[in-house]
Amino acid sequence: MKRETPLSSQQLAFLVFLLILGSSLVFVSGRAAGQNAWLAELLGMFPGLYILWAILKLQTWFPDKRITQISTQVLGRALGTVLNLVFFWSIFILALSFVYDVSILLKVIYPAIPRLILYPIIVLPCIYVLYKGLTAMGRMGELFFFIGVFFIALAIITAIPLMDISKLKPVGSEWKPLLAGFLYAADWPFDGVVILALFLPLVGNLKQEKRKVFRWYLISAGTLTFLDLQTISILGPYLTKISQFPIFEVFRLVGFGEFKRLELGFLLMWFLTGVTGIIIYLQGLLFLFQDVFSLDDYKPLILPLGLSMIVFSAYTFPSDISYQLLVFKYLSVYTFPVNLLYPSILLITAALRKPGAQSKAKEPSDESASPENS
Amino acid sequence: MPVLMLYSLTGFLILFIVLEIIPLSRKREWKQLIIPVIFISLTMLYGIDYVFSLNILPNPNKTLYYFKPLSENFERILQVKP
Repeated sequence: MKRETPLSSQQLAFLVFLLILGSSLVFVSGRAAGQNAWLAELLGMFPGLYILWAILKLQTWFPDKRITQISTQVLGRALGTVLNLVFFWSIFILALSFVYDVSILLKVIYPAIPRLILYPIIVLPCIYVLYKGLTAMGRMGELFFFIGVFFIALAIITAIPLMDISKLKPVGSEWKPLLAGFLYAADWPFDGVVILALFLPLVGNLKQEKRKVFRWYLISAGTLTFLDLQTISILGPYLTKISQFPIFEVFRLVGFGEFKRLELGFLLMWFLTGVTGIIIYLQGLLFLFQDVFSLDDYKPLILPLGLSMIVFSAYTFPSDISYQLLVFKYLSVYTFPVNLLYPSILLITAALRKPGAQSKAKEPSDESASPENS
Repeated sequence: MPVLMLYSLTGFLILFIVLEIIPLSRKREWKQLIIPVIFISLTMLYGIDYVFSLNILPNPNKTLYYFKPLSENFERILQVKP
């Protein structure tokens, strides 16, 4: 029977682009590196590139299986489930942090609206897309991609006159903060591509068009690096470090004569790319739930998961200060090794057991892996 | 205004009953219902705990605080300025 593939490789490539940019479009994730944050961001893309290669390699060995199913097949039911739960927690906390991110951005723009109203405003469109299914998600990615590219290009062009390259000097000094910035940037947003390992069995023509996925990953990393470089050259390393949303601050400065407050024009870009990131993470969590609890269908879980995003975002991050502390300091120590090691362990184990793993992979996939349920 | 959470809890519960519980119970697919019902019940408990500021349930952010010493050592070694 021919495998159903609701996503095309082109749509996956666009989703990679939106995921990378959507999860950090207003932040400078390597800001621990000071004026070298852009360099940290540039170097930080390599671990993500490795993860992308690792999950695509695993996919060629196990074409019809999600990474969670590969985990239980390669490591055994017990160990595989433990590893899946560790991965689940990493993805769940990251999804909560994305919801909180978008809410604080909306709070800056709409300060009078309580956060507990903003959470449902963010989560309900995501639930709608999840109910519509993966085909709708792929089409949404295509649509948002063009809107996103237009606004990002516009944002970069309008901010160029404000750039002062001298603020980037000295380049490459102080290797320790640069290393810290590299690790933070590698963890977030680049290692986030590991979530795509849950989508790969549903992508058509992937084997032939892998390059397209890599290309858009590199384009998004390049765009983010340039945005960081531009932000530091406009705000300087100190303001970049102390600002909650440095890139947002740059767009506050942009304007033509009397024509100011252009940052509100970019709200659509931030909201669309941010919400796409959340949708991808929520869909990944649904796949994880489905595999961990061996469910036939994930659809009954959509509403509970959506509600959990609202409740746990409020519960886990009671204030901006606790959010800054937990997400920017403590979370990376957990998510970076998990997101890096999870595919690595599976890749190494599968490579060691390759002949057996490949023959097993040729067997018909189990019920939970069938595309009808995905 | 934690009481605003009640709107989300009520709205989602009604949607869940209408869109999931009624159709699945008509088809008698109880197995498919168990995990989502447990999940939404747990979330509702946390929601109620939040609304009335009871602080009875363990906060998920405690798991992140376990990484505090590791994170502080990392920042100290790599000279990350606060």
